[in-house]
Amino acid sequence: MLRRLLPRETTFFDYFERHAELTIQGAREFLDLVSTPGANVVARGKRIKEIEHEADVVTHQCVEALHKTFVTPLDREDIHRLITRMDDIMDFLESAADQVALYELRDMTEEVRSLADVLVRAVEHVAAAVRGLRDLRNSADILKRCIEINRLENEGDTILRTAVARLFREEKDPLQIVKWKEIYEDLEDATDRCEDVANIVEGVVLEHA
Amino acid sequence: MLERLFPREGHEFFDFFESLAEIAEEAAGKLRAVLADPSRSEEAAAEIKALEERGDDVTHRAIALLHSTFLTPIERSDIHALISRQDDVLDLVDSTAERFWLYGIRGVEDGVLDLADVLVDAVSVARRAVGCLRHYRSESSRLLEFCRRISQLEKEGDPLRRHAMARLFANSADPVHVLMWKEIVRFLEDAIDRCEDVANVLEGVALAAA
Repeated sequence: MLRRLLPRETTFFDYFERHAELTIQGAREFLDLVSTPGANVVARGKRIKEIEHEADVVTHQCVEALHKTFVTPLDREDIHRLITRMDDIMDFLESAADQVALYELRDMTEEVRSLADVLVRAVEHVAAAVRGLRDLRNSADILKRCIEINRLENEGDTILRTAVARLFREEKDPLQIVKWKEIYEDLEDATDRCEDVANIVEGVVLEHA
Repeated sequence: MLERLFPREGHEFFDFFESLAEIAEEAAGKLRAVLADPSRSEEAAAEIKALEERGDDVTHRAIALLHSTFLTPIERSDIHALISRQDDVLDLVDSTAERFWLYGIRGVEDGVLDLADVLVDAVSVARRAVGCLRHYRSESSRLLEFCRRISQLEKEGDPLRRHAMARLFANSADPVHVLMWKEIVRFLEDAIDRCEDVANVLEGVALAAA
C-alpha cells in the first residue's frame, strides 16, 4: 500500500548507467590518445573534458534527485557514495588527460598505455556491475565483476610501481620523471576509485541477498 | 516532553564553529599575502602558527563540551566531523605557510597565487556557511547554496593546480625548485578539498532538517 503511494524511483539506476557509459567513453578516448602516435593530444583532451563535464551534470542531477526523493530504492547513503566515487573515476581520468596535453608530452610510454588499458577494463566491469543493481537478479555475476575489478586494481598497482622504477632508472630528465609520475598516479587513483565503487556495490548486493 | 526535561544545551558549539571559521579565514588571507611577498615568510609562518594553535584550543574545548553535553543542538557525530574537518583546513594552511618559509622560497609563482585565491574564497564561503548553522532550519537553503559554491570552487581548483604545474615545468629548469613548489601546490589543493569536506558535513545537517 505504502509502496503504491510512494513509488520507488528507478531514475537512480538510469543515472548510474549513464554515468558509467560516459566513463567508458572517456577511458577509451584516453587509451586511444596514448596508443595513437601523433594523436592530436589537445583536441582529444578537450573531448575528454567534455565527457567529464557531461558526467558531472549526471552526478549533479543524481544528487539533486536524491535530495528530493522520499523513498529511495537503495540506501540513501549508498546512492550518494556510489555516484560520488563514480565521479571521482572520471575526475582522475580527466586530470591525467589534461596533464598529457598541458605538459606537452609527445612520446607516450608503454606504461601509460598499460595503465589506460587496465582502466578501460575496470570501468567496463564497473558499468556491468552497476547495471546489475537495477534488479539484483544476477547477484553472482555482479560479485564476479567486483572481484575482477579488485584484481585489475592490483594489476594497476604493479604496473605503477614498475613504471615509476623504470622512470627513476632510465629517465635522465628529473622534470620528465615528475610529469609522468603525476599522470601514472592519477590513472592508478582512477582504478582505485573503481575498486571503491566495487566495494559499495558488493555491500549493496550482500545486504539485499 | 523529553526535550523539556532535558533541554538541548550546548549552543556554545555554534560559537566554536564560528570562531574556527574566522580563524581559518584570517590564516588563509595571511597565507595568500605571503605567497605574493615571500620576504615576510618567517613572520607570516609564525603568525599563522599562532592562529593554528588558537584553533586547536577551540577544537579541544568543543570536543570537551561534546563529551559533557547530553542533548546536542545538532547530531553529535556531525559536531565532531565538522570540528575535525575545520581543524584540518587550518592545519593545512599552517603546513603550507611553514613549508614555504622552511624551503626558503624567494620567488612568486602566479599560477600558485591563482590557486591560493580559490582557497581564500572557499574558506570565506565556508565561514558564511558555518554562520547559517545556528539557524539551520530557517536558513537551510542559504546554507545549501554556500555548500554548492564551495564544491564549485573545489572543481575550479583542480585545473588551476595542473596549470600551475605546467607553468612551473615550462618556466623552470631547476627540478628542486619545481619539487618545492609542487609540495606547496599540493597542500593548497588539499586545504581546498578539506573545505569541501566541511561543506559536505554542513550539507548533511541541512538536508537532515529539510
